[in-house]
This record gives sequence, structure tokens and C-alpha cells, in this order.
Amino acid sequence: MAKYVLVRVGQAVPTMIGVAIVGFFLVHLVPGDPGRIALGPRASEIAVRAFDDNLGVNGPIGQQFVRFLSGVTHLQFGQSFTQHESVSAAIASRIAPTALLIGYGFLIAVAVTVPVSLFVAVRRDRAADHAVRAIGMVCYAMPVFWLGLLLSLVFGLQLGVLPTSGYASGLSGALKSLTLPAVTLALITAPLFIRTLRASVIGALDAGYVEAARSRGLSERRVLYRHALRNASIPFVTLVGLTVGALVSGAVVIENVFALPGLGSLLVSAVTSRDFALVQGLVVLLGLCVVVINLLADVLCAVLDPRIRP
Amino acid sequence: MSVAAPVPAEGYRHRGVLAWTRRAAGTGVGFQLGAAILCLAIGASAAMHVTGLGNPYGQNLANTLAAPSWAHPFGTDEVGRDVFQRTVYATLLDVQIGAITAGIPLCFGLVLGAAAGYFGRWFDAVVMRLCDLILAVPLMVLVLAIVAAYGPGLSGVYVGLVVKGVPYYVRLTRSEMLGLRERQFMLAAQTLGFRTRRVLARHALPHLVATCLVFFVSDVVGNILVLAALSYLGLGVQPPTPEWGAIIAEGQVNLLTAWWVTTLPGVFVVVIGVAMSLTGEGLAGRLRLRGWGMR
Repeated sequence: MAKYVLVRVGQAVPTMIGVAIVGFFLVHLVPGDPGRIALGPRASEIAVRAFDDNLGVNGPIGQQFVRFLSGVTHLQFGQSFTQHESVSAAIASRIAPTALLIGYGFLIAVAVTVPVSLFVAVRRDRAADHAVRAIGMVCYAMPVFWLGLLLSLVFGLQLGVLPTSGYASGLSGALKSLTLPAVTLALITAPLFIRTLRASVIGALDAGYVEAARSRGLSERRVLYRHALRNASIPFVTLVGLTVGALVSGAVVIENVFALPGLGSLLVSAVTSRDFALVQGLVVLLGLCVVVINLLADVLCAVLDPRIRP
Repeated sequence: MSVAAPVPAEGYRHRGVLAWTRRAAGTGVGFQLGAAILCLAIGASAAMHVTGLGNPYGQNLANTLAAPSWAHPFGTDEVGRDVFQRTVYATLLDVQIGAITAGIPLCFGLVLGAAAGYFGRWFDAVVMRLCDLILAVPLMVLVLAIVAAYGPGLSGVYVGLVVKGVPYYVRLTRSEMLGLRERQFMLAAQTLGFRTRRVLARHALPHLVATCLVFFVSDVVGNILVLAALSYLGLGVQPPTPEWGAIIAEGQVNLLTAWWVTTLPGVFVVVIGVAMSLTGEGLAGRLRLRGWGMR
């Protein structure tokens, strides 16, 4: 097991370096001088020079890259000129709402996915199955921000049961203000989860070991939960690892709809004001998070399924 | 003496795009319904663009935030513009950008993926690592970052959506190619001594395109949603140009008093998205492939 984890971590390292490369070349996509573009035509030459120095876009490109990589390993991305603090400090102070939102939304999505997929997998090609598939198709075509606005209109403004924007401190306050955003996030990710888990539960129910379990006289409940679901959860866990990116993407938009002070709204304000250092830091950090979570998902798969372990 | 190969008349009669579409149209109610809705919406939008019918920009300050009625099915917005006309008018722009930003990666992905799968070795390794690199960053974060580099407006949106799309098509084509490479007809084509270019273009490509087309349809839906999200955030299509995300964003300020400006265009987007998904599933059924949800 330890060996498997080590090998998998070793495989993740090139991807992490890849994320850093993407972050690095981003600034070089800027048509023209980043400092001049961010600060405008009337900024002084000194200010522009200081901006570029902070961003590290001067000198030979090889040197720039080495400097950038050593910055990444220390989690140093320079100063953010809109937040008036270092990029890492700005990110650190905004990370909690985003992490909570993604975790909360993910939990809701899984809590919906497991019972619904089991229910539907047992009744395949019946009315309930088709209904869930149709709902999934509608959810897939929904703009995230529109769904968020709709929910805040109904539950926030009309019924007045939940706050529509802002972020209250404290755990209960945070949970309350994150409920609508988390439900929005869950609604756009659950259809994908249900689709996968349904397919793998159906695959598992057709497998020989389920038949064997039934012929041993085990209850249908036990067959479904202990034999089919456990086996079906392996491709599901892999998929969950792969959809972390989608969760982050959804969270970025949702935070802006509900005015949550998280990394997503920080990213959008950085993009709008062309605070390149901050954008770079966020891209690298969020990319690294996704790589790490994928890694954890793979390790979890190995825990669930002894066959994967070497 | 020339040996003319006998042409089987049966085999050639049903060729061509038109015949193919006709056969595909027979695949089910879902496909027909979806394609009909799409044609109607795009046709209406194109007609507005070409003939100048309707008035998506016309303000009427005497009739602001009017509730939906027969004259204005989606009501009017803050400056009295007809929301329904704006929404329909925006269809062409949204679908066009969605299709272009899915079509360009489709072409790149087909070529790169086919070559990677067919030749293997170092080329495969390099292409796949480059794809991993792009896929490692969350989609929205990557597109936003590219928009940051180019500034608000459409050029950043185009570049961002194309860059994010290529790896998906490369992976899809490559995995298909790996299976195809071992098939009898490919080996036969190689044994006959055809040039590699011919083997790839004439024998492999038709199979690869089929797989990619199905993903293409769901990719168009996805790209339209990203475009709408960017416009909603004020980074995509700039006002006063009608675009679905921008229209929804304009209504947000008056959400409580004029719910229709935000809600109804969204319903329209969902209907178009579902119509596209239905069309894609129809194609998938025709090609016996999986449908949407490969993101």
C-alpha cells in the first residue's frame, strides 16, 4: 500500500510542475507589456517597471521560469496590487468560504446521488429511470448563475428562509449562508454523478458475484448494499476525483452570484482589474488542489479495491 | 485491358450528407423534436439578423420593466427593450460562438489524437503530457485566466474555449485510434501498401469523426454555458450586444420587482440546451455511442 501511494505521488509530480508551467506562461500570453496593460497608458514608467519586477517578467525567460518555480515551492507569488497585500496572504484569507462551499455542495450531491442511483438502477428503463434521466438533461443545460439566481429568488426573496448573499462568520452562520450556493453546486454536479453510479451499479448487478450472493440466499438489501454498491463505488470515486475541476469551476461562478468572499470572487475581481500576479497565484494554487484531490481519490480507490494495489 | 471494379449501386446510393441526415432523422422522437426546436430558434434568429425584423436594441422608456404580455412575451427590461426579441436575437451569436469554439478543437484534436494513437512512441507521450497539463487546471479557472491575459471581450473567450477543448478531443480520438489500429480493415489498408496519409484520412478518419461528433454536440452546449457565465461576470460579450448571459445579468438588479428579465431568458437557454442534448443523443443512438456528460 505504501509503495502504491509513493508511486502515485511520483506520478503526480510532473502534473504539478505542468500546472506551474501553465501559470507561468499565462503572463506571457498578455499582448504587450503586462505592467503597461494593467496600469494603463498614463501610468509612470517607474510604476510599470515595478509592476513587471513584482511579476518577474524581466530578464531571460529561463531565469524567469526558475525564479517562478522557486517562488511556487515557497508559495510566494509576489504582491497583489489590488488587494494591497501579498498574493499568498490574499488567498489564505479567502480560502475558507470556497473550501466549505465545495465540501458542502459535494456532500449534498453525494447524499442525493447514492439513493437515487440505487433506486433507478434497480428499476432500469422504467418510468422513474426515464424521469431521472430527463431531469439530468435539464440540469446539464442550465446556466449555473441562472440556477443560483432562481434559487435565491424563490428561497431568499419570496420565502425569505435563507440569505441570498454575503457570508456570516461562525459555523452556523457560514452553513446558513452557504446552503443556497451549495444546493446550486450540488444540482449541477449530481446529474453527472447519478449517471455514472447508475451505470456502474447496473454493471455490478449483472455480474456473477451478485448472482452468487443471491443464490446463497442473502437478502436483496444486503446484495445491493454490500455486494453491488461497494463494487460500483470504485469507478464512481475515480469520477469524483476527475470532477473536482468541475466543482471548482461551478464554485467560481456561484460565489459571484451569492457575493461570497471566496477564491472565485477573488479570481474574477483579479481578472477584471488585470491583477496578473493574483491570477497566476490562483491558477497555480487551484490547479495544485485539483491534482492533490485526484491523488487522494486514487488512493481511496486502492483502499476500497484490493485488486488495484500492487 | 483495364479491370474496372464493379461498383455496387446499392452501396453508393445512400451516401452523402443529405442522405445521412435523413437516415439519422429517423432515429426517434427526441432527435426530431430537438432538431426542430434548434432549427426554429436558429432560423428565427438568423431571420432577425438578415432582414432586420424586430428591434432588439430599441429602448422605450415609457414602458420599462413591463410584465410578460402577448406584445412582449418575456416582458421588457430596465430601458424598455423587448426581452424576448433580445433573447431570440442572441441565439445566433451564442450558438455560433459555441460551435466555432467546439469546431476548432475538434479539427485539432482529430489530427493530433489520430497521429498520437497511430504513431505512438515519443509523439504520443508528448501530446498526452501536453493535454494533461491543460486538463490539470479547472476549466473555468483556465478560461478566466486566459481572458485575464487578453482583457474583456471575445478574443479571450475564443482562445480560452479553444485551448480548453483540444485535450478532450485528443483523448477521445486517441483512444478510438488505439482500438482502430488493430482492426482488420486498417491492417488490410496497410498491407495493400497505401500511404500512411491515405490510411489515416480515408480509412480511419470516418470512424473517428463519428465519435467526435457526438461529443461535439455536448461540447457546444458546455461552451455556450461558459460563454454565458463569462458574459454574466462582465468578461465576455459586452453590452448592449444581446447575449444570453448578459441579458440574465441585466435583470439581476431588478430580480424582486421584475423576475421575468432574469428567469425567462434562462428558460429559453435551458430549452435550447436540452434540444441540443436530444439531438446529440439521437446521433449517439444512430452511431451506437454514448451521449453527453464526458466533461
